[in-house]
Amino acid sequence: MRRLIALLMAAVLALGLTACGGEEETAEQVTVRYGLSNAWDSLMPYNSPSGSNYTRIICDKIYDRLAYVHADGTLDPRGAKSWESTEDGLAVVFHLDEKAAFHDGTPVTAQHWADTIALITNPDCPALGRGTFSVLAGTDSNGCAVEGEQLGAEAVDEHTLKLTFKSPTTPEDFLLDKNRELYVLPTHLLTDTAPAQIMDLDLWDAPVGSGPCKFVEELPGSQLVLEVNQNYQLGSPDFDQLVITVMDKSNLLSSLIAGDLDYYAFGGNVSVEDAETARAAGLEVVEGEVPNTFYELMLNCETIPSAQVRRAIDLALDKEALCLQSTRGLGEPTATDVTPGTEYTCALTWSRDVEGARRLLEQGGYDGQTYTLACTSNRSGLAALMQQELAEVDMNVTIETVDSAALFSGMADGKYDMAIASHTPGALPLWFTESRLSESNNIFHITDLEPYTYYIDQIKAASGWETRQVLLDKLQELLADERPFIPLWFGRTLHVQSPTVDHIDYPSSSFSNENIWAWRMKAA
Amino acid sequence: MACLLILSLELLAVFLLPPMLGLAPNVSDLEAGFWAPPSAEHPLGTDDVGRDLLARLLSGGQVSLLIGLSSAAISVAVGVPLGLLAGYRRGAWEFWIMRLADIFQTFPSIVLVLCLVTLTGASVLNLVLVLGLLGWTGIARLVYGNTLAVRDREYVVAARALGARTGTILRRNVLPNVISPVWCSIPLRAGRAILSESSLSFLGFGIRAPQASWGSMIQYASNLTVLTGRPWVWLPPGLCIILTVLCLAGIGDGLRDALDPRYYAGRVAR
Repeated sequence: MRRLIALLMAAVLALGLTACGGEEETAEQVTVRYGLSNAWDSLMPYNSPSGSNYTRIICDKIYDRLAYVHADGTLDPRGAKSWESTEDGLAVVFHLDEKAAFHDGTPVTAQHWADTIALITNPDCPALGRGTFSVLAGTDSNGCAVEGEQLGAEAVDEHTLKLTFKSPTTPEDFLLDKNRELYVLPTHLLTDTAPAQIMDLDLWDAPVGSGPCKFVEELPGSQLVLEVNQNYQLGSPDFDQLVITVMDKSNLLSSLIAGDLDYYAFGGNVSVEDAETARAAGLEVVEGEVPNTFYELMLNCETIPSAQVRRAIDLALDKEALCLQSTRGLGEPTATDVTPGTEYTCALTWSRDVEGARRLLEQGGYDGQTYTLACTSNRSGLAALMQQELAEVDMNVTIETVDSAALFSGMADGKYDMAIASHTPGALPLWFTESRLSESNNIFHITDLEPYTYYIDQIKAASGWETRQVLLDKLQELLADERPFIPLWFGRTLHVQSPTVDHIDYPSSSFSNENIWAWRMKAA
Repeated sequence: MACLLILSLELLAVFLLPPMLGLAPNVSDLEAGFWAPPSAEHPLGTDDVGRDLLARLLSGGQVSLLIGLSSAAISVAVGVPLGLLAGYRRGAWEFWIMRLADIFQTFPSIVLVLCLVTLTGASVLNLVLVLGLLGWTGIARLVYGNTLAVRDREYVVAARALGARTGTILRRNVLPNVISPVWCSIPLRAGRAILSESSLSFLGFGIRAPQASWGSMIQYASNLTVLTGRPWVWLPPGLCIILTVLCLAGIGDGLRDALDPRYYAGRVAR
C-alpha cells in the first residue's frame, strides 16, 4: 500500500512539473524592465500637476506626438510624416501618418488633433499645462480659447492638420519647444462627456492612446505594465511587455548591474564616478555629444534688489570649480543661457573677480544681510562650495536643503533669495528666457519685465537668423547688466548602455521622448 | 571603566583637536581635489567638495555627541517629573500621562521624527528638541513603575503623615529611590539619539549643510561608487558611531552595576 501511495505521489509530482514546464513555454513573454526614479502623477497628459519629465516620459509611451526630437535638435516624423510653413509663416501644416491608429483600432485623424487642442483650450476643461497652446491664434496668454475668435487648430482634411500661430513660427521652432507637451487624445471616446468632467473619466485609469505602447495595468506610484503596440505606424520592438518600475535613484545603476533592470530613464544617465563602477561591472558607458543640462543660480530680484549685488554674486562664483565639482569635467562654464553648438551664439564670457565683486557689493549697498540659498539634497555640496566662494567676498549665505517642488514653489513665493536649478537646454534662442521672463512665471521676481519682453517679442517676430542674433545679443547684454539669474554651465551626460536592449537613442530622452519602436533585444 | 575612558578620549578629541590643529571642516582644498584619497595633508582624504574628512569627522562628532547627550538630558527632564507625578498622584494624572505616553509610543518613532523635523526645519537645535521630547516616554514609564513600588513605603507614608507637601515628598523621598535606573538609561538613550540622528542624516533630513555629523558623513555611502571604492569616506564615521554607542551602552551597564543594590547583591551571592 505504501509503495502504491509513493508511486501515486511521484506520478502527481511528475505531472505537476511537466505542467509547469508547458505553461512556461506557452506563456513566454519577452519583457523589458525599465527603471524610473520618480513616479508619474497622471496617465492623462493634460492633467499632470507637476508637468514633470517623469509624467512626460510615461505619456510618451501611451500617446502619440507629432514628431520625434533628437538631442541635437533635429526632428524625425512620428504622428506627422512631414510638415511645412505657410507662405506668411503664421501657420504650419502637418501631414499626418495615415497608418496611425488608437489602441482600440480607430484611425487617428487630423480631427482628433484639432479636437484635442479645442478641448484642452476650452476654459471649461480643467486641463493643466494648457499654456503650451498660448502660441496658437485664438488663445489668451494662459492658452485658453478666446470666445469669438477662431482657434488656430484646424483639420484641413482627414490627415492634414493646420496650426496657426499668433506670430510667425517655423515648424522646427514650434516642435522643439512644444512637441513634448502635445499629445493626441482619443477624442472619439470623449464625445459624450462635458469638458468640465473630462478629467473625472475612468478612461484615464486605463488610457487608450495611439502611442507605441498599450496600457495593461498600473500600481499607482510604483509600477506600470505596458504592452507593445504591434500596429504602431513606425514599427514595433521585438519584445512584448515594458514594465516600468519606480525605484530610488541610487538603486538604478546597481539594479542594472545586478540584472534587475534592462534600462533606466533618462537615457541611463550616470555620474563620472558611477561610470567607473558601471565599466568595472562590464557595462559600456558612452559620453553624450550635445549639452543636455544647463545649471543656473536663480536670484530673487525682490530680496536682492540691487543689480550690482547680483552682478557681484556672479563675479564671486568660481564657475570652473563649481562645474568641475558637479560634472567632473563633462561641462563648460558659461555666461549665458544660449546653448552652445546651436545656430545662435553669444559673445559674453565669464571670469571670477573677487575684488570686483567686493567693489560692486559696496556700490550696491550690501549691508551684510544673510541670504538663503535653496538647493536639492544632491546639490548640497555644490551649495556649500558656493557658500565658501561668497564668503570670500564677505557675503553671508545659509543653505536650505529642500526637494525640487519646494525649491521652485519657494522661489516663486519669494521665500528663498537664491536657488540652484538645472534644466534641459534647447536649441531655440529663447528656450530659457521666454517662459521665465513673463508675467505668468516671473520666478526671478523682476519688478519691470518690459525691457525683457520687448526683446523677446522682437526676437520672436524677427524672420531672419541675422536679425534674431542681433536682438539676442542685446537681450543677453541686458541680462548681463541686470543679472536676474546667473548662468553657471552647460553639462554633458554619460549614458550607461543597456546590457540587453539595442538601438536605444539614449541622448534624446532628455527631450522626454524615447524611440521605443526601434528597440531590439540583444542576442543572448 | 574602559568605556568611560574611551568616551572621554573621544569627547576630548572632538572638542579639543579641531582648535588645536586648526582644522577647518567647511573649507574646500581645491588643490587636493574632490574625493582625494588619504594623504599626509588630509589623513582621511577629502569629500565631494574637497573638504578635509578628518576635520569633518571631528566636527561631526561634536554635533552627534551634542545631539545624543542633550536630547537624552531633555528626555530625562521631561520624563522624570511626568513619571513621578503619574506614579505618585495616580488617578487622572496617571491616566492622562500614561495614555499620552501610549499615544507617543504608538507612532513609528522614525516617521514621527521625520514629520516633525520636516515641519520645524533641520537644525541641531530642532533635532535635539524633537529627539529629546519624543524620548520621554521610556524614562517616564521607568520612573512611573518604580514610583508605584515606593509610594506606599513606610518612609513615604510617614512623610505624608507629617504633613510634607507633595513636591517635597517627591523630591526628597521618592526621587532618590527611583532615580538609579534612570542614570543607567541615560547613556542608552544618548546612544539611541545618536543613531536616530544618523538615520535622519542618512535619509537627508538631518542637520543643515554645510555642517557635518557622523550620520551625514555616512550618507555618502548611499552612492555605489563611494560604498565600494572609497571606504575611507564612510568607514571612520561608521566606526565612531559604533564605538560611541557601544561605550554608552557599557557605561549604562556599569552604572546599573554600581547603583542597583539588588543587582550588586545578586552578583555577590552568586
